[in-house]
Amino acid sequence: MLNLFRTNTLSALIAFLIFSILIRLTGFIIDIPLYIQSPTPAAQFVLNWMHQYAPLGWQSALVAALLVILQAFFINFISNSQQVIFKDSVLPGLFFVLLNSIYAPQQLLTPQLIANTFLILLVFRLCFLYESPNPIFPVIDAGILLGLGLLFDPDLILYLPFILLSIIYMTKFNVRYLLVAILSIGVPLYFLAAFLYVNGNISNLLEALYYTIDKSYFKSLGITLEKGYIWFVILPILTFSALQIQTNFFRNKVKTRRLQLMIIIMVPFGFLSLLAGDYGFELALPYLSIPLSFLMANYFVRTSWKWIKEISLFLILAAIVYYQYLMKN
Amino acid sequence: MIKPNIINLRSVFYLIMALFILKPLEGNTQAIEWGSPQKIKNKNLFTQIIGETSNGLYLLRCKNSDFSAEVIIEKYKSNLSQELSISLPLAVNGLVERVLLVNNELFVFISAKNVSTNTIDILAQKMDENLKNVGGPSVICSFPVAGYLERRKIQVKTNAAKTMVGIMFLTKGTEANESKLNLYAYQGATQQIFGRQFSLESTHKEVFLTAFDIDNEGNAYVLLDYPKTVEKGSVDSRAFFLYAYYPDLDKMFAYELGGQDQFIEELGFTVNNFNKTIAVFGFYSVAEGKDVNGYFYNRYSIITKETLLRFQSLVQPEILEKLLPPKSEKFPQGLDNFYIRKIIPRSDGGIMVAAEKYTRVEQRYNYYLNNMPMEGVRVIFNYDDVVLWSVNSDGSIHFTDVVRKKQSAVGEIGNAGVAIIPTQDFVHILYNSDLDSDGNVMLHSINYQGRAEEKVLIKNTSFNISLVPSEFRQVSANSLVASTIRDKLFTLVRIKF
Repeated sequence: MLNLFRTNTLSALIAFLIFSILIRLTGFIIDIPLYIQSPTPAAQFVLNWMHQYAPLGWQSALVAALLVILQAFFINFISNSQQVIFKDSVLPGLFFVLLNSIYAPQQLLTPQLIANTFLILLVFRLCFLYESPNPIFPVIDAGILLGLGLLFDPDLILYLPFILLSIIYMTKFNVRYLLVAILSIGVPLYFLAAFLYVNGNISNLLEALYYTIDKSYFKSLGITLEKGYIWFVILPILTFSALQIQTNFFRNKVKTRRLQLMIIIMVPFGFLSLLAGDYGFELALPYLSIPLSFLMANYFVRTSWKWIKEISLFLILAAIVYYQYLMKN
Repeated sequence: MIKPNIINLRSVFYLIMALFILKPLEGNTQAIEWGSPQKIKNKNLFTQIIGETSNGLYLLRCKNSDFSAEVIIEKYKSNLSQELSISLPLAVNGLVERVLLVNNELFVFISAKNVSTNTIDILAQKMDENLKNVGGPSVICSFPVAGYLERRKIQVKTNAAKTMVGIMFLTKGTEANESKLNLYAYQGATQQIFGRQFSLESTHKEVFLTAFDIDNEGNAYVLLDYPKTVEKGSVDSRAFFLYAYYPDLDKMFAYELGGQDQFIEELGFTVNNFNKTIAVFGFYSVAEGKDVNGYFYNRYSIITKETLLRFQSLVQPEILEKLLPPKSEKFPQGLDNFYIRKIIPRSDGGIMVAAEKYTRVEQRYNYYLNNMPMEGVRVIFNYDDVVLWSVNSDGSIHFTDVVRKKQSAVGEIGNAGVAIIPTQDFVHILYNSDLDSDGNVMLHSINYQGRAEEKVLIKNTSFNISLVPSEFRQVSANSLVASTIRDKLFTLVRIKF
């Protein structure tokens, strides 16, 4: 099955689309509870809109599925256009969809899923840092995109050091770039605050900001052994993939090397966002899924050890079916 | 060969005599066991002791007294040494309503907004002895978001045997001038016994819930009051009720409290699981604005659902004189501002009541900042004398006692107040003699015949110590675990009576 996805042909894209739809059917079949506490004003707006115009569970699942598939196509586009992986394929998108569909609550529309769109766009803009004649523009874009993401999930503030590290690594150490990044993050927040202030509704935003400053970013992961089984398959794959990247690192072009390193730097930030969330680690998985999808694709795109890779994929799929349909809650 | 035998007999005699002499002393001695002092990390100033099992002692730490978010759960060994300390793992994104030991198993009760169904779900999440979640959380109760009252806490508590869980909360009514009282009870933490909703003819803002409890049979009791339409000044403007829901009959009984010339100021209730009665006790004044100088004691049968006793009386002036501080024109000569802290049922149908004088004073002061006059407000919480009443089963006063103290605290955190621990023979009252660093921890003990004694329980000699009275838990019939601040460090203490 993997052979089909190892290419970037039209048939591979169609197969990827069908596969994505199949893996995200749960939300249409069963009622999934989704608990979101004290969302930010922007997230509250989206949730209220959904509640008013698309209140049913399958409608939320439909919007979420469309968003995840769009994000996955964009991940594929980043991978292929920026040559993050040595071969063009639909595998990064495929694993992005898989990682965003492991547990049942991931089937529904969440503020984290919306915020993840901006994080993917941010990664895309950071890819241009290396070749850009004037890096200040990608830096501004990246800052604004993170700022937009922050409006939906304040925990994305964790990615501020990631942007700063990427700027230093992809360009050169320049205080002006760092300051521009920090200032541009505040731009969407400033406009939202001004809008809410004019409408006399700024208290919710202030509450969210106070909470973001005051909250602990190192909480228990809250994962049970049952929910952790799938990671016994994924973690060795990631380790092998990281080793492969390290082994072949200097065979790549300079830009690819830097992009790969940026992806690897993103992993600990994704892991931190799992710890920071108030919502259970499942809903923060989209953030981690961005770098992991590239890493997993890097492992599966190679044709060596074919059967082991097929079995690994089968085990991941079996675990997903179990989590989505058979596991209680 | 004979001499050693004589010596042996003498030794036995002396030993028996010694035992007889020492026996009365043994009844009123206390053993104190200290945990290891710890720094207060990340401003987690508040502690809530959940309880103790054979596996260890569990407690929560939090930055505020809500314990609803950013909660740390800790496990201690029986010698009070810390074993585990982690942030409370929540499987869903919600607010912690309560963490309880039910049948010696740890359960976290979470309220969370389910955006899929637009309901507020109350979930029970079981934890193992290593503070790991066991399975997923179970939804035990759901209600529409439209009825949810954010500022009103959902009350979750166990029965005395810690085998059942009761949940009580108010929700908005469907009509503008009504509210709903929601009652749920569970065998263990998740097996529902009943879930009922009752309409109240007042808005949620007007309804005041004083107390809620469930007995060992799974019956639920709520003490509440709401306004009644009466001519102002003639009778109490609020209607006070004890609501008792009996699931076996599927009926709610409403026992009206108060009566003619009774303006209820303070009240509380207790469930007597031993002789199957509910006792309601309170203070009243005879007219609005007058000194509170009367008390009432009502008792209801759980078995027959009948009112067994309805007693009200003015407190005799000589008793008031004994209980209250010397006369002063400045302060009312009544039981105004006395708040019932604990009602302890007696096996004969009587009760013992401890009430503490509590006042809140706002002090306004002026100061200059950059040559600009500014006004500041300081709120001082005064915790003064504690009065103890022993009330006979017929309502008459058996004896009274008073603990004289003057405590003032600024802000929410305080070492002020009292910890009241009923044991088999005594009612013990613990408090800090002074709230500054030179104070001792005092123990006032009174037996059920009215014999009282006061002594220094922990003397401030080699270290500064202050008990946090609001943060204690009676973990067995004769022992408690409390949090203390010892040399500015958080330290647990176990006191055995």
